[in-house]
Amino acid sequence: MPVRNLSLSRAVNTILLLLMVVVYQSLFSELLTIRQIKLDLPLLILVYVGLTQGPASGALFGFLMGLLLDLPNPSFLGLGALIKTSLGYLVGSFKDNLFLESNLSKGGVIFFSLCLNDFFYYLFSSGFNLSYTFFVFFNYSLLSALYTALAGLVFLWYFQIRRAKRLADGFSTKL
Amino acid sequence: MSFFPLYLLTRVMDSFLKGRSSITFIVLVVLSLFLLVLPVKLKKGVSEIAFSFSYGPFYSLANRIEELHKVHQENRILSQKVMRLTLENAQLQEKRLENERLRKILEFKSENSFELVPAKVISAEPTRLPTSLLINLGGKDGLKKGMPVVNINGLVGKVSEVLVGSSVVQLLFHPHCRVAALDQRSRVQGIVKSKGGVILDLDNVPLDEDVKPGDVIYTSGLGGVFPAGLKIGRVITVYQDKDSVFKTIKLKPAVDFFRLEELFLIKL
Repeated sequence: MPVRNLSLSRAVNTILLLLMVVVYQSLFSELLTIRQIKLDLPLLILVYVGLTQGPASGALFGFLMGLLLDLPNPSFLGLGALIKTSLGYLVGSFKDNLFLESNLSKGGVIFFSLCLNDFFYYLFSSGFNLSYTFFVFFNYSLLSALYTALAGLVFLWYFQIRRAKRLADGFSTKL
Repeated sequence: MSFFPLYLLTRVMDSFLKGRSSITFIVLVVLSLFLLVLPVKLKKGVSEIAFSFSYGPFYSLANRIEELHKVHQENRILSQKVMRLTLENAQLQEKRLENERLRKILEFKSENSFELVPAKVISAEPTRLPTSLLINLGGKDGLKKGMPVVNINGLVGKVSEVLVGSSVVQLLFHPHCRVAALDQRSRVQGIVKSKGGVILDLDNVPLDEDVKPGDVIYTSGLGGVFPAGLKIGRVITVYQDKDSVFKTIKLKPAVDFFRLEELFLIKL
């Protein structure tokens, strides 16, 4: 029973996170864009899922999310899914890794994930046009990756402070 | 650990070799490749359907919100425009009425043989029933005390005081104002005066004289102040008091004393 409940809650979590991706892409992505530098919230969520739930969940979530993000651009349906599946699996491999205990390391993972995602996406979608790929990568993707990584760090610190506060309150109650 | 890429590869291989996650990964990669190699037409069809179910509701919500925002802004702009146009309209109505009045005044001037000097009311007594008012002409404009004052409807009063740039006009309602009058129909003569209120009295008309309600009363010219032929008002009631030798006759003034704007002074 507890195992089934855990699977059910994970499924619900996944659906909610995917819904968040859709809502963000359709309603809020323009609001958080600064001079064409976008906040890649879907990728942030993918890294979170990968680091907390492992490679299988990371890959599955990456596939579903990639598919959702490919819908507005049907010519490349499957490309986003392929890249994000691989990214989700790769990031998931670092679950429970001591090397990534610090927030800065996690920020680094977010940054590199976005760089990889964008590089391969533009490389494949442009038909292996390297000059185009490098142009877009260096003019938009790097800054976007930095922006997203910083936003990720802010979220991480916020949640850590909240958790610490809750623990402290729990402690003081017990005493 | 010192050589990071090697460490990374080790980690990935480690995960890959852990049965379930690697199978999941392979299946998903194959599925993605399968989708990638599908014909474009099929991909477009499937995407369209999936898009309308997933993004569709949120995009239409976003469009609605944007539309509402635009409508709200448009509403604000239109409200301001309506306000501005309402004020403009009120001003234009005022101009139209002034135009009509001035047209009538022009007609009145051309019909009369008197020499008329136009004047404007600049202020009136701040009482419920003003008995005098101030006009914008005075001694420097050639005005003299006693000059009759009329408007297009009839007799208004006379100049009672002349200042340099303005003059005081004593209205028919003034308790000291007396006008020698004549019934246009029966040619009966009398004196018009005010005993208070917005109604005038035609006094000194003997009981056997013929004055009826509806008769129009004009100036007779006999007083020496007002020339003959200026309309004063209309008879509304005629009483015959047994104890009096004269009839009690009430007149409604021809002039609306609460709407005086443009006046004329008669140069005698």
